[in-house]
Amino acid sequence: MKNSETAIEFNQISKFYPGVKALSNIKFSIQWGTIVGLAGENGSGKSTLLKLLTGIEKADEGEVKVRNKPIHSIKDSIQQKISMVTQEPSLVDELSIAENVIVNQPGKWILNWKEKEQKTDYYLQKLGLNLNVKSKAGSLSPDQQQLVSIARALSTEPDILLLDEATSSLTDDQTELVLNLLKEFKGNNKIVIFISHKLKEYLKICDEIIVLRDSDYICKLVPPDWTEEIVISSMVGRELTNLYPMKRTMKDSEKMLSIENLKMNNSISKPLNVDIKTGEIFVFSGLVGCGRSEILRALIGEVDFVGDIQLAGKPYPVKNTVDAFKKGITLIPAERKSEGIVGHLSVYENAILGIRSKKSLFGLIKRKDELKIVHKIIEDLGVKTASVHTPIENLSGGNQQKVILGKAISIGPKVLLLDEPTRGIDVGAKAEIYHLLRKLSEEGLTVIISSSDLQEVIGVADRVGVMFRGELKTILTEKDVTEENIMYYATGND
Amino acid sequence: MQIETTLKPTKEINPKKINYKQLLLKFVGIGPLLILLCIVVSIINPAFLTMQNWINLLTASSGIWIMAMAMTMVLLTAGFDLSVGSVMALSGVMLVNLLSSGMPQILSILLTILTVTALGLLINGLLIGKVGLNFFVVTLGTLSLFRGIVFVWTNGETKYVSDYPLVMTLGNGKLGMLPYPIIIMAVVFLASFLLLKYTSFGRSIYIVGGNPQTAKLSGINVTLVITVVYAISAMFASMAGIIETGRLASAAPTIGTSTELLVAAAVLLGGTSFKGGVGGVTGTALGVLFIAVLQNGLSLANVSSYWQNVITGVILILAIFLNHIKSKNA
Repeated sequence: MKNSETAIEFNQISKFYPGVKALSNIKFSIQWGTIVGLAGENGSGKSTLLKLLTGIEKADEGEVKVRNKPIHSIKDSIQQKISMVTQEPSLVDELSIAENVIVNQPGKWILNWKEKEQKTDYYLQKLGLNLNVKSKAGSLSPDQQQLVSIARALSTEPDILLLDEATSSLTDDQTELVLNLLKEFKGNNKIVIFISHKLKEYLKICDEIIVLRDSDYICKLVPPDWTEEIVISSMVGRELTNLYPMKRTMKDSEKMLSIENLKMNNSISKPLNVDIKTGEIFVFSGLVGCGRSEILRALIGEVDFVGDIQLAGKPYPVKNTVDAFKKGITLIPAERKSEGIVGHLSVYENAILGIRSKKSLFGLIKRKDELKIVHKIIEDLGVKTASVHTPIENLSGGNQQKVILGKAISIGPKVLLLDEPTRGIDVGAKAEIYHLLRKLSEEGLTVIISSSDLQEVIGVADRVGVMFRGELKTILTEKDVTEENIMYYATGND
Repeated sequence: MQIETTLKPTKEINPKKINYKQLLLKFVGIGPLLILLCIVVSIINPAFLTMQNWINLLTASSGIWIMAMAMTMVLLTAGFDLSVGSVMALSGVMLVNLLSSGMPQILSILLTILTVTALGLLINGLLIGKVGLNFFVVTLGTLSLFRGIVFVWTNGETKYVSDYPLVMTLGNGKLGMLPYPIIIMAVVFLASFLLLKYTSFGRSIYIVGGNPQTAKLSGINVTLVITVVYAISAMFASMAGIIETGRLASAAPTIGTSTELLVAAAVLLGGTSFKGGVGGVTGTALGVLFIAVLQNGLSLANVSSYWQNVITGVILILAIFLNHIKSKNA
């Protein structure tokens, strides 16, 4: 009769960080055998709630109880068989997959390598991965790393599994597989607490959705009276009218970028031909590892390639990022933290980078002029920050992304490249970024995006180039841009 | 800009909440520690506070001071230059040899600085910045290489320079009350401060150290920044070498041995982190003063030189520890 007893209890939980309230008076409980979705915008307190369950963070007020016992430390959490998977895979690159999955073998003084490898293989197979468990974790693609992290959590045979945006870098197929696995897992009278940026995933597998907003508990939604709209409006506290901007058709626009026989120096790449028009939003879509990011990296000279590229009718030989930058092509990377920002430096220092790079490296800085530019960037893009001197890492993901975007357009580029432009960003900021990109494109900026988020692809693209294993399968326009069509070509059909 | 969504800003955070713990921690930084140290030393021996003692103290630490300014820049790029002590010795020996070959003094000094800077640029700078070798390995190599050249060149003998007035003035002369080394220290500090704060290059150093990938994608020439920083490091070390040659009226092949560690200690004390992108020369200046006052105080208190090393080590670890607590709570 495990099912009837309360498994997890959040009892009037409050949590404060210096100057920030992360959670206030949260109270709810979870039963065995359920999948609970935690929904809320960035900074609403979802992740903090999970961290309390793992014992990494402690509540300032109230108590978290599992099986009626309080969680005070990581040790308590492990005893209660709680396991968590985070958004960023935390694998040791230099160690083998097996060593990453089976971190310790409790009760054993001497390692049993064979068992380790067999067990790892078992969980990998379950997740649809056919890998050599002896190969290094660092050699895996981001989606594979994510799945390996999930395998690690499963291998501890937890009773409570916490997933903090653990599906964000997975393809739709992989996500489907993981979601089904979660359903099977819960069937054994266990609990999954699930956070995702994709609302569809909540609706697909959750038994109930807990909505948090601005560190408060808002409501619990249960089927059948939930729809995507209801979840969103509970999350943002208002109705979101138009997430995506109007489309445009670019019939008689000039060519901005013409790519001929582009071939990267890696094995999967096939010669690529595409013309991109001035002022359009062109999106490269396809499964993870299909080579869409590499195209963007090639355009800024970070990946070696052969082939002819013409920018605004002139040959465009590109040596490195500095060169690309000068010629008017700049990239906003997918990994905000490791490539997009300098975390501990201020919003000001991060936002002004573009302008500074345009000038001579050995020139003097005019702070007054720079401040004006930074304030304009913040105003134009609607960045929410206490001051321009706040370290950028204290901002939400959406606001960080706006600063990066502001920096990129401050130099007046001809072509703006974006890799996963809204990964890990809440719905509100997403809408703002989509509208901004549309406005910029209407002003004549050529925007090229690489995205794994199908809804985003369909929502913002004027044209979609679908990739499969390094090959541009087709280019979809207007009515042909549908989820079905994209998936059809992205999985290799002709 | 108009975005047609019905969004309102999320809740504002109250910025006016005073945190007493943080207020207290403000006083454990290197500045307050230095003041505390000065008070303790002056109680033990009031002679500490005399003008002459301070002039001696500052002049004696001029070499470390100058090298520490450049080392700050190197650490800001998340690097390290182990070769500064050897570069310093090389500069002294080169200067002496140029002088004794009959070259005019001003020319000898300029040529020494130029040559040594070029060496720093071409070996340390290019290998680390352009080729991408690890800074630790490269500068460990040049540490040995330059020191080796010095011993081969001098055959292990100390050379004297008392016959050259300009060099002697740079090390011992005074402009009014102030010795030239102190004036040069001030100029170097000011130049470094302004470079880091008010030039594009200076700010780029922080970005390159904080996140090289961001720097690259933002159009910063990372290779150039790193290369130039190691050239500056060599240049400052050669200036330190020349002043030291004048101050001691000689160029010994052993001079500056393991100075790089003292320089690094001063920079780290000043709050510049090995991780890159955090810190600045103001902290470094205080760090150098801290070490100088500590050593001066121990001498004034007649502590034996063996014990001086022990105590210096303990206090350095303690000071770094306090800095760590401070930055953790910041």
